[in-house]
Amino acid sequence: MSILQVHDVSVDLPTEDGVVHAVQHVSFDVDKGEVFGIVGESGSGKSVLTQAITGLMPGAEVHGTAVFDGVDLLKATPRQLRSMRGNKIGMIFQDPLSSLHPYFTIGSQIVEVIRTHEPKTSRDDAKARAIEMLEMVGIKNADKRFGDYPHQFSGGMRQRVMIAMALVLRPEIIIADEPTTALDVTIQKQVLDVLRDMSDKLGTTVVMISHDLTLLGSFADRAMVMYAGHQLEMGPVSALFSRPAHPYTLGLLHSSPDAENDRKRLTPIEGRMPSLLDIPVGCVFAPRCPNATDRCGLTAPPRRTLSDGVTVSCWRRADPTPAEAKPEIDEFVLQRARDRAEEQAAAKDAAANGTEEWPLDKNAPIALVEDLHLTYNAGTRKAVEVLKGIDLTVNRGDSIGLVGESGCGKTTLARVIAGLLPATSGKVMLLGQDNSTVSRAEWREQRRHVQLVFQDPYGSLNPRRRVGSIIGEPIRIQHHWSGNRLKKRVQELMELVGLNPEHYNRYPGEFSGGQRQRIGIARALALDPELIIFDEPVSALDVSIQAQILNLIQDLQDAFGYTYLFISHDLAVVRHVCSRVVVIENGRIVERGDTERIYDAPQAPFTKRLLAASIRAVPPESQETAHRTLVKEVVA
Amino acid sequence: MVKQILRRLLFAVIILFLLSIFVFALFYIAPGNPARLIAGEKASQEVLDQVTRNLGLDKPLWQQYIRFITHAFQGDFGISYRNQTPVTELILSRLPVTFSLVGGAVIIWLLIGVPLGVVSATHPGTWKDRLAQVLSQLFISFPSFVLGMFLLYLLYYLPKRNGFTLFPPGGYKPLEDGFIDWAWHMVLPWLTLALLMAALYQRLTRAEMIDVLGEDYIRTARAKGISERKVIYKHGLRSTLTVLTTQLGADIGSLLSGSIIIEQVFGLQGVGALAVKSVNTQDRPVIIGVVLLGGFFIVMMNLLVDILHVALEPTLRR
Repeated sequence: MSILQVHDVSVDLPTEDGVVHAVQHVSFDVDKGEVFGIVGESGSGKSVLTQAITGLMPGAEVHGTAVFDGVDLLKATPRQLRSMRGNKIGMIFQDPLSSLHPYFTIGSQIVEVIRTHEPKTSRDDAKARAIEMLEMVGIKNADKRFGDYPHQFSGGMRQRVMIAMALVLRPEIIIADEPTTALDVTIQKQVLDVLRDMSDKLGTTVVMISHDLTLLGSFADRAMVMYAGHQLEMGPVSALFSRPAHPYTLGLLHSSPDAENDRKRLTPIEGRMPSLLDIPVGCVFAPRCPNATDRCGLTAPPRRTLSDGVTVSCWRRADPTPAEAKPEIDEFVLQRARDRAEEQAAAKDAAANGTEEWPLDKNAPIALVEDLHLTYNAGTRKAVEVLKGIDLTVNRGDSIGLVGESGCGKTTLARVIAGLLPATSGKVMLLGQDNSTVSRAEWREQRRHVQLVFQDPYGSLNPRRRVGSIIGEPIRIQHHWSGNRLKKRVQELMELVGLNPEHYNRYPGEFSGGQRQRIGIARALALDPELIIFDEPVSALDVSIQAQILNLIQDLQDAFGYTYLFISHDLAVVRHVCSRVVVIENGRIVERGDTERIYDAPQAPFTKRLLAASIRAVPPESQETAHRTLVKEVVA
Repeated sequence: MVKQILRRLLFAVIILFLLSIFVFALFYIAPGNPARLIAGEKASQEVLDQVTRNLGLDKPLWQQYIRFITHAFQGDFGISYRNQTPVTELILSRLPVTFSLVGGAVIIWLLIGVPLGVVSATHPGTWKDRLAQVLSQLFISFPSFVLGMFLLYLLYYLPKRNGFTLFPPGGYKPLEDGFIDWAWHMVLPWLTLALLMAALYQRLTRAEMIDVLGEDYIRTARAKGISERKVIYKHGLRSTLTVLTTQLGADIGSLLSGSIIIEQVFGLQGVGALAVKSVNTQDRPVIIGVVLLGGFFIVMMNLLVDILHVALEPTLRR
């Protein structure tokens, strides 16, 4: 029996640039007691959809019907909606820190839900119920912690508080919008378990929104795949995984790196999501679809229903075939690599003639760290020991993955190695020189050989400077190049990382997230460094774009032989890129070794925990899916 | 916490100390001879010398300063050159006027500015927002004396010409002589000051509220099914208090040390008027007293704001 019936819902958001068609003609039913997943990349409309039908998008124009509990939510008055929200419809959001009010105690925030919908409940009763609920979701000493503020809890605990708040009135349905995205892998698993457990115990229906298809694979019963506001495929998750009917679903599965599989080249979905300001003529995915035909670009596809419960919007009747991964590295990249080899040979000859270009020991390890300690606010009461004795050697040509949960010190370690933070004690040698004794000139010289690529492609580029000037700045500073010579080099770099060199004069705001990360990589490559430190370079990117960037990062190393230090919390990504892995827990290295060895036979308990949490059970193919037939076809 | 307050207090004393040196030096460098002013244009050199000696002005500057500062620590800020009254007494007699002006105005401007800012922020781009924005722009661009004169014309002169007194044109009636009379006399100065400040607070509240209403926890509050009113006033406004109190502390501090122009327009004998008069007459002890009082108020208000922040923001508590 379905509890929520959404039929032909469209959401338009008026903005300054025009009307954003965030959701178009989406229909789905959610059955009572099931976990229904909505999956899509950013801009797919998945959050807008759920917020619009629950009345949390005041400016939006919403069409269609969404019947919940016998009431059409889209025709309900704000008052009716309000009486349902929190009471019959619970909600959990992505970031548990910003989603809880920082100035009220968690107890009072939960009590507020109870007393809003059941005003006759006495304060004491409400408090007792809140504490009971907090205990249910696994908050220890709930009666003592009732009066604590959100900042006194860890991320996972905060999300448990959010879950308690959403469930305290036993709603029939809860909408969880990326509830684990902001959390560490091991915490993610705990939170999902709590959510699943609660849903089983209380019989609550869960609508779970996520960008991560594999996460839904182990959590949801059925799921809907959205892309650029359109519903592309919907059905049992086992069918989505074992026999994806839409090329986009297939593309998503193929482009996500996998913690259980060997490193192989990913097949990204080429291109980027279209603007939501225009309504597409044909299929919205056609421009990026490897199976697209002329018809796809001209006429919107029909919605076909298959016998195993899958509905798919696609012209193609046969199963989609995966895109051909470009197996080889781009010729331009290879040519540049050959040129560079020649340049270096020439430089070596010059060095033999006594005109040494830089006074660095070419045979020393790129970085050598011995017994490194780092304490913030050392010597005061607020002292925090971040790194507790790290030993690490980075040799030329290595690609080392630094893996750990947030706050374990992996970024700090990278910054110390790069010479951006002084160590409290211990030895850090970079390119044969001790970081603590380098002179200003040597430090400056070091900058040429160590470059960083940061996580946030939006925050780490100055929005008021042109891309050409951002990429060219290191060259201008170190080599004092200018004019055409600089421009030529910058355009070469842009081509190297897959950017259009003609976009030299554009601003970062005109580029998408993936392209911005390419700009960051081009800037890092500008000086042809020895060591490149990647600090979570793909964490902020969507899956299909992430694959493009990961392939680029790998190609560059294969062609040029750069040395990488690759920081990530994502074991699948690290497995894909790195040949060696260093696992950090709490400022200490708990395990290190070759990637294959660590993933196949982890030794340290922490590594085992990490791996266990990141491995997702993929549902097996069912009989119905294997022998499915076309049931009906509805023309769009 | 206590340690923090004590440290801030010590800091305050140091600031006031430095301020006193600065002001002392400033008036030594400044032209004009206070002894001449007191003795009069026609006084003979002997009389002038006598006056100079009486004032202690014949001693070296550092000796004058030492004398001043040792007395100051005992609460004695010297004696006014003009009317031979102790500075402390002089200032204390003016404080009720200034306190009345600022205290009343604060309440009015908060009652006008903050709600208007909230209305603006919750209806951005609508006529309500536009109207509130235009009004605040208007009052921000008014010089205070123009607004004062305008209100005097509108609420005193016009009714007066038509035969009745709506509000008095100024003057101060002590609170002890009756609340109604006191408030009636203060209405025009209060309005003048409050309208100007309300405009600033409307803008501040609007900007802050728009930020806060975009926060995730406001969405959470709505998702809980709380009434919009409660979302805005309980969850939203609560978060703007930190910024509002910071601004309020700074504003009260500086206004207490004298809202000179408004006091002039309405003939109020407050600290501001005292400051003007003492500068005109080179009454050095009074000037130093007034400046130090101002510094004291500002430092104290900042301290108060800091303590308030700890109370308001759980994240600052240990």
